[in-house]
Amino acid sequence: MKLLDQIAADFTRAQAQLARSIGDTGTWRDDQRAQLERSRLDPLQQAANAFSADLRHAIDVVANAERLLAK
Amino acid sequence: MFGGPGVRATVGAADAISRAVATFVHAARGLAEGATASVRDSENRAASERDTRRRALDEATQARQRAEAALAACTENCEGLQRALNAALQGERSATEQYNASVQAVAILAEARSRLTRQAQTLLAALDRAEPGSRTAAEYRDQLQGYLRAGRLEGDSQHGNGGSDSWAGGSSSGSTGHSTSVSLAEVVDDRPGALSFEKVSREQVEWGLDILSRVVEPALRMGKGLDYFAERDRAEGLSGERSYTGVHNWFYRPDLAIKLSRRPDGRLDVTNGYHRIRVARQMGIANLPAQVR
Repeated sequence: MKLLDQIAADFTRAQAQLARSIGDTGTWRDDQRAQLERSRLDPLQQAANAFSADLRHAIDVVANAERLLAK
Repeated sequence: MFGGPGVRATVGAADAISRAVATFVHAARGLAEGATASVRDSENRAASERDTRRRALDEATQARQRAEAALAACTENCEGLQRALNAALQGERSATEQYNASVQAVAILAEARSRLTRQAQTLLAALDRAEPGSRTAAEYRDQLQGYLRAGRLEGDSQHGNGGSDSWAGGSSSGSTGHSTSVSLAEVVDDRPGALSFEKVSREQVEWGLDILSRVVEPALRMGKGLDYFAERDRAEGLSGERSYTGVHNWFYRPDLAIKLSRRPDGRLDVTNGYHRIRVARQMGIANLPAQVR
C-alpha cells in the first residue's frame, strides 16, 4: 500500500512537471509549431490523467481489500 | 517575423518541453509498471489468503457435519453434543464470512488490476508516441539555437546591427563571421575539372539554389524568418533537405553555410561549398550567402 502511494505521488509530481512545461508552449510565438507540439503531447497528458485516475482507484481498492481481509 | 528575445523564449520552451517529455517518459514507464505490479501482488496475496480461508471453511464444514452426525446418533444426555454442534455451526458461519470477504477482495483487486493494466498499456503507447514529439522539440530547439548563433534575428541584441544587413546588403565587407551575400566574381575556384556529386546530387544542388534565389532570399529581404519557412513547409508538405527550411539551413546555418577566406589580394578562397558555387555560376547566379573569415 505504501509503495502504491509512493508511486502515485511520484507520478503526480511527474505529471505536474510535464503540465508546467507543456503550459509554457502557450508563450511560444510560433503558434503553429506550438499547436503541433500540443497535438502530440495532449494525448500523452490525457493518457497520464486517465492512468492517474485509475491508480487512485486502485489505491482505494487495495485499502478496501485490506479491510475485507482483516475481517 | 519574431525577434531575438521571442525566439530565445521559444528555445527555452522547446528545451523545457524536450526535457520534460523525456523525463516524464522515463519516469512514467517505471511508475506504470511498478503500479500494476504492486496491484498484482496485492491480488496474489488476497488470492492466497482466499485459498487458505477456503480450506478453513472446508474444515469447519466437516466439523459441523461430524457434530451433526454425533448428535443424530445420540439418544440421551445429548446436551454436550448439541453445544458442540452449535459451536461448529458458529465456526462454519464465521469461516464462511471470512471466505466470502476474501473472495470479494480478490474480485475487486482483479477488476482494479485489469483496469489499471489496460490504462497502463494505453499510457505506455502514448509514451512511445510522445518520444518522437520530444525529439521534434529538441530538434526545433537546436534549429532555433543555430538560428540565434547565426545572428539571423531582427532586433537580436547579441548582434547589435539588428541582423538586417546579414545577407541583403550584397557586400562581403565588414563580415562578422555569419553569412553575408558574396559576389561570386570575388571567389576563386581553384579546383580543376568537373566536380563529383557524391554527397549531394547535382539536381539537389540546382533545386536548392533555385529555391534560395526564388523563395528564401526574397522572403528574408521581406523580414520573414524561420517560422515562415517552417509554415510553408507544413502547408506544402515539404521536409528534410527538400524544403524551404532545409535550403535556409543549408546556406545560413553556421555548420552548413558556404565558408570562404579572404586572400591577401582581396579575393576569396573556398573552404566549404565548391559544389554550390560551381553550380550557381553555371546557373547565372551572381551572389550567394557565405561566411567570410
